[in-house]
Amino acid sequence: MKTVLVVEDNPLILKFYRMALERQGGFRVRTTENVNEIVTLARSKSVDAVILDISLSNAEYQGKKIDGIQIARILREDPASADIPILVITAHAMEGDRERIILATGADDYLQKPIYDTQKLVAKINELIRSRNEQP
Amino acid sequence: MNTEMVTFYEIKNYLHFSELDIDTLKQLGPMFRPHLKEMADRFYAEIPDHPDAYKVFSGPAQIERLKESLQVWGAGLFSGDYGEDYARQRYQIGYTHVRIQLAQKYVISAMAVVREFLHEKINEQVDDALLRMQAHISIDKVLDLDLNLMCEAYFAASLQALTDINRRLEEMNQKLRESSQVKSEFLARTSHELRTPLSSILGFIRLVLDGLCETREEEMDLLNDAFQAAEHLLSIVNDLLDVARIEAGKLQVQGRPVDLRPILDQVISLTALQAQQKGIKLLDETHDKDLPRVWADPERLKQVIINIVGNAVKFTDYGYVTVRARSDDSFVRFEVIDTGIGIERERQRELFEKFKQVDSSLTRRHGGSGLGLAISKHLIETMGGAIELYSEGLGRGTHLHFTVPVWREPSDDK
Repeated sequence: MKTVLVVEDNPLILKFYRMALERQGGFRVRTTENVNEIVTLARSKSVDAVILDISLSNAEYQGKKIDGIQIARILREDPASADIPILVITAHAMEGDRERIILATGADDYLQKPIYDTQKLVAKINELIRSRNEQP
Repeated sequence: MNTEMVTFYEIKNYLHFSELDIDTLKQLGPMFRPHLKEMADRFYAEIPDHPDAYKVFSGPAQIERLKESLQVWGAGLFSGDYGEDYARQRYQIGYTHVRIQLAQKYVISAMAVVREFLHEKINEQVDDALLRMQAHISIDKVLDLDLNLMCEAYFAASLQALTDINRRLEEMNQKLRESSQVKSEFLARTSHELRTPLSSILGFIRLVLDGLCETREEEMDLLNDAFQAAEHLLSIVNDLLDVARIEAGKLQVQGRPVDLRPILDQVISLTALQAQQKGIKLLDETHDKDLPRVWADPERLKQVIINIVGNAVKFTDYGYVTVRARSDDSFVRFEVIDTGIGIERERQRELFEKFKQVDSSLTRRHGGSGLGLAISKHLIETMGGAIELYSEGLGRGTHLHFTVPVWREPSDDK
């Protein structure tokens, strides 16, 4: 069973992801905003993909507030977690945000909130995991 | 050398103002000095017909003083010394005319009156034909010199005025650019804030419709979440509408005498449940004897109190929220004190600013558009009161107070 780590600060949206991913996708879902935990999970390969929000209210790293963009960079810069598929899902939806965010995060893909199509979400996660695995 | 003096020498040059002119004017001096008073009398005799006269002349005593100044000026024409002191003095006369806002055309026309007088006098007084011809030429040159210097003063003033206007336009332009920038950011944040509750609404309904719930209770739970998110969305939309109305100057406040007790009771009962769920105390320490009627729009006042008490409850996880209203002769003063998370001093003023708030991580955690305080401040001030927030800093509670004017019976004594 594949595991998806969801990093999101809104409890209601977290609840949606959990139910959609578990029941529609058959994934195991882990959730946390704790950056050390995120890094550990990603390095130890105990998660197969990460869904990452940009604006986070509780994420801190080395004593400073940190957002999803910075978390993605930390994961990408560490060889042990550099290959993990990252899907950024955010409510930042102005023109140019998509390119800016993918460039800044090194994420595999970017979706705009509102996200509510459970099948599409599951298909997207599966696609990201598959394409990462197919890479040499 | 400053530009005024450069211009002075240039004008002298262009006029071919020569040693011969200087000598001629010097020579004419003794002959003209006795007639200067006559010139001044003639000049000011024409003043009552002057359309701008009211601007400049306040009465006979002033006219006498001005006649004397004109004689001093006239004597200067024949002084024989046309150096920088002369230039400074002439510029000064010009600036004085500019300052009293006498139109330039009247200066030109006044100069024509003087010119006619002086040419007549030359014809009368100078017998020698050669000197007479030279006198006409030289007097024209010195008058042209004076006229040019005065017009320079007008030109400099116009230039200064244009420079000032330009600077103001540039400042205004800068402000517009900034405000447009602020609005774009506001739009981006608003879009962000609207998408968050929309995500919950659409997501939870989708989960139910997709049949992903296992029990009826689970379905009800998700629908309830969707409903709350929709209510949250509605409150954001209402706040945005209020902000748009404020921006357009169209937020209406209908003042009338208002009893506070029912409003306070409604607000307390609306927020009490929320406080109870969070396990904090909501205390109303208002004594009814402290409450005269106030002059306010009851719906808007309720909106303000709900916003403020609601915020206090929202941002307090432990302890209590105290609501207290007291009055003096002119105002009822509301105090809402909480033991909540407080706010850093640097950010306290920002709270009241429109367009600054949507999207703080706090509003995300606690709900609301974050525009409520800016709207409340506007409402309170429109109703004639004031609002202030005080907090010692993060984690140290917040003390917010605002005032509403006491209603006065119209006095019976006539």
